[in-house]
Amino acid sequence: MNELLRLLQQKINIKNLCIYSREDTTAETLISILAVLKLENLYIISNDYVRASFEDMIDEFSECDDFSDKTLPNISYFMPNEDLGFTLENETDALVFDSSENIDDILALSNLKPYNLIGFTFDSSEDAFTIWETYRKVSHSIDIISYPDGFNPQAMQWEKRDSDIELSVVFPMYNVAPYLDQCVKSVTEWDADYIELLFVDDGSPDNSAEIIEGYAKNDPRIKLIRKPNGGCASARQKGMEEAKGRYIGFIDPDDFIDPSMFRKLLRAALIGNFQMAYCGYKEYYQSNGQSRVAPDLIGAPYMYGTTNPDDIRDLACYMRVAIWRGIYSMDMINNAGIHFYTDLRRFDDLPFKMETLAATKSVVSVPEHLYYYRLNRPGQDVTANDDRLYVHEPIFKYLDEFFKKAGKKELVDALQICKIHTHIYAIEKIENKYLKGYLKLAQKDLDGYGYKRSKMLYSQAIARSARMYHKLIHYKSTMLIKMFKARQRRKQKAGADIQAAISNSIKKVSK
Amino acid sequence: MNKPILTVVVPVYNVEKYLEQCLNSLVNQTVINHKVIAVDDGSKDSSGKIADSFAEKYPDIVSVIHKQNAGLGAARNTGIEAADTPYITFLDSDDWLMLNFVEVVTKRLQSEKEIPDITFTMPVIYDQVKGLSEDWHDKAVFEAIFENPHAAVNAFTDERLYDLEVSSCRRIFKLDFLKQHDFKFPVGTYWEDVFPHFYLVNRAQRCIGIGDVGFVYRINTPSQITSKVGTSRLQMINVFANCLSFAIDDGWSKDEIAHILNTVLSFSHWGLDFTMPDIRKEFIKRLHALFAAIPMEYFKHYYKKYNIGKREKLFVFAVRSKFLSSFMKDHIFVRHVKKKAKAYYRHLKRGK
Repeated sequence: MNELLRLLQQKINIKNLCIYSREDTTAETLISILAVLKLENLYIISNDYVRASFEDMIDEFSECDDFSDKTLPNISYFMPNEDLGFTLENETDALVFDSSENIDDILALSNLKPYNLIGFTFDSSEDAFTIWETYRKVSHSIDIISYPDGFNPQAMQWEKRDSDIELSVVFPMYNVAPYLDQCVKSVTEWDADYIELLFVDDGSPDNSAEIIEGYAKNDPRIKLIRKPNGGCASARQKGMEEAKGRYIGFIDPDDFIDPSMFRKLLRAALIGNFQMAYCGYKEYYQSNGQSRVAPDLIGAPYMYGTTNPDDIRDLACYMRVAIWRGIYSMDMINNAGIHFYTDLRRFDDLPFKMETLAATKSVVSVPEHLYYYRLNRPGQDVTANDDRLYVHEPIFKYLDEFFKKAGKKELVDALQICKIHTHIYAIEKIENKYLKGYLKLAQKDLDGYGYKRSKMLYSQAIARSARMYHKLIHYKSTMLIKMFKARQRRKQKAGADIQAAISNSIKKVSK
Repeated sequence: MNKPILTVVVPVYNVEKYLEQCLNSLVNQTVINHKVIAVDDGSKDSSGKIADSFAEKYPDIVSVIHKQNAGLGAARNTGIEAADTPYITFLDSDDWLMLNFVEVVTKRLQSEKEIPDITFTMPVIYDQVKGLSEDWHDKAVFEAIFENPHAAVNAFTDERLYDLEVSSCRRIFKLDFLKQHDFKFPVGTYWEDVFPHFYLVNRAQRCIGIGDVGFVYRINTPSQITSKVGTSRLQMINVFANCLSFAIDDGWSKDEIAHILNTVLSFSHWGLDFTMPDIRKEFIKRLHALFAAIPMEYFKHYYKKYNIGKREKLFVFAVRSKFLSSFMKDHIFVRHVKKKAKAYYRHLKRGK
């Protein structure tokens, strides 16, 4: 079925239709519209050539026997730059545009203030987004079908909400004053007025809050929320509760972003009505000011947007836990009842990642690395190597519960794959004296799925070394794990040495 | 005003989100030549009230019947009893109807000299997450059957009618045809469309197809995260068992039973693909019981008729065997064995 016809049938009370078109094929579509909808007024804005084909079609239509009992609406024609002398502000009005050869013309039509906007663009995602940015101020519902990759259609389904804010970004702050300037500057560079930046001061003893207050004076989008100290999870949760946006993002204020990040994410998410959008990130080294790309799943099929549950499950299995490079639909989060577990003192992003990926039905990625993750700073979570890592046990308990409720076997399998990766990460990091305790927890956690079953699952899904770890965890063999860890480290080092040797020998050739 | 020609039965159960759109599409048809019977199946949300408000606003078109909750089949039966028009069709309350449905259908039905027992329409799928529409699953078969749009067919002239999607909502029935066969939807079970599909297609003398219009089938609603697949999956096997035993009692030919088997197999693959491990265990147990009870000759006939490949034959063989089917309880294990078997097969090939 023609998408335009379907949309018009869904928005059942449209009586006055204004069509802007430079393509004579639109005339054929118009006939099917006239056959199905009972319109009162029809305004056609087009050039002479297209107008002629419209008139022909309508003549044919009124002479056709099949439609002899139809009453035609009042039809009036206008030239593209003519003074129109009407508006489309009522609920029963709609503006339809076809193709965006001349996007300025379409933008100029926003003075009609159409209640409903329906359109088709073929050129790029940028067009759809620009049109949305202009019309969001005047329209109540915007449906634009665009072809971002040139082939596959994506549908924007935007409805006005009570709140004017499209994107809320939450910054949980605790002792980050030295990095705040860089972070705030990188975020505020995008001048959109439909975003809000929520800085949650988690009872920080330094002057972070004062710095933000200074910024808030000049920028109304910045809001400061103060709360007593309760950990990163509680700060994020607090921010999420206060957020009014259609989408929500989280930034760690000691990191910074490419100024275009949120615009690109929001664009990708909006034009296909995706529930989640994310991009890649770089590791930024404080000590030497250099940054390196963190390899991740951001290419096809995700860059075209996917609703395939298998692809989304793969993300749950193999994507890095880095919730701050994504934006998430608030509707999705609320419907699924996703929240941060405030009793977790760290790694609260792991359950958030798994739960959003379990709940989300459509994902799109921006295939660029736009977030800078600051490393080489003491006190950061990644360097935790003691019993703080035991926190994985309650995390997976929560996750088990959540996934059981969702009741999909693929997701339970995905969680099991995520578990082994997390446990290996922890075991490689943890100090030897805490290893025994960790193994006990990990073994119990993994074997909940059944040892033989997980062995079979892993043989299909993960690398050989990880499978070895799984065996050793099952037998809780501290000594063997230590040996295996050392072997892995040696292998890694040997690999790096070989790499260096190769690059050296190639360098010699260039000399 | 002429006497309406079509009744649309809409069973309503806890669908306040979508009901308005559904009823709106019914009262805003380009031609009003139909009645709507909304059967409120004991809704716990405001669905009943929404339906009532439509009945108040459009008393000529919409009537509402409130009843105690008894399932979709029973609600449709209530609708059949209350209907008094020559034709009847059904619409689920989260779907909606194209606005020229009644117009096109009326024109076509009035131009038919003999009244068709079943009229097939062509629905469209609307993926709500994507916001785009897709073709209905069996469009190719439909177009092949009704290649000549004016010819009427029945199950004896074209067996492919059995292969059409089982949905009842895409069919318009002659009311007398249903009454003549004393037809009732099965009550108290899911998969209420399966048996009626085979039974009615078998009994119908004249079937026609209208390829232009149909209902719009909503899939993939963004807010629902728990999958509905649960123990309802298990009832599927009972439904097919009833269906097969009826067909055999009724003296259907092996050709016709092959069509049922085709549906059984595609449903069982689908059922196995989407169930949680604990339900799968019970599912495979019952599936084994069903398959083992069907004589091999029926399967053989089915293989020949549909040109079934090795893989499918192996599947049937495994399910029929009590020993092998006991190993199919776990999807992980099945996948594991498949992988090993593939590797072994490759190894054998290389050896040669």
